Amino acid sequence: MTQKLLVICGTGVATSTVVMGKLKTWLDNQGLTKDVTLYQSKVAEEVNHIDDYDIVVSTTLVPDSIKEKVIDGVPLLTGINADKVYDKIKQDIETGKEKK
Amino acid sequence: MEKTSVNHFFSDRVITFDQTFSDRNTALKSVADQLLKAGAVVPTFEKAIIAREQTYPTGLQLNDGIGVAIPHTDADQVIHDQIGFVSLKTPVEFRQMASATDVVSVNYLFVLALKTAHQQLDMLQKLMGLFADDTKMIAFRKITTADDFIHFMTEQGVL
Repeated sequence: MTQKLLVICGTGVATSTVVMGKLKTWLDNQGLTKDVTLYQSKVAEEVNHIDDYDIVVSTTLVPDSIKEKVIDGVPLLTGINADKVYDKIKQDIETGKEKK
Repeated sequence: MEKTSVNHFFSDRVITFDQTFSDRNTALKSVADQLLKAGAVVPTFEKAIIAREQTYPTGLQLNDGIGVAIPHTDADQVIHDQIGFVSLKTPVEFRQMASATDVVSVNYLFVLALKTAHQQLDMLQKLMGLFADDTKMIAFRKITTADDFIHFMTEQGVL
């Protein structure tokens, strides 16, 4: 089963689009494309559906109620200190694979 | 026929340098006014972009102490794709994207009026690529005219 990775930002259009593009390329390079399905949305629409996803990356501030589940995606946007975030996502994908 | 290159994201030439604003909202209001006059956005864009920045901040801390912000709002506030640019003489404080507390001293403001952002992936990626490239940013910081700015952005593929 593939894992669901959600990318959210404030509007669901600009910054999440960039992060989606970066993640697509990265997944491809890592040979993980088959393991992950990408979703894109705005934070306001997902607050109550966050458990539908295995991994959540955000480029915007999220409410405290979902904070623990969310990975800060701003480094992916700028490319500055992005490695740590990619490592964390990769780790989550590997962990998720074992569970399923 | 004379060859002219038109970079459509900057075709309205909402590009200003060495500006001074007392705060973030005054800076946003000024760019929103210019975009409105250019016919790129609807009259409610100003309010929308100020409110959006308050809820979902867009400041980005780059290397070498440079700060940029990329305010944007919903597509229904936009008539045609355009980017309003301001270089600030004195940095203005924005909040860091995805942070409740961190602030960024912003030197360069890119107000994104995007009608169809999903199709602007290439432009957005190239803009972010520029922000992350310290060498290119050194060249970018030397720009002082709208013509040079458009030429530079076109070279970077931000078009």
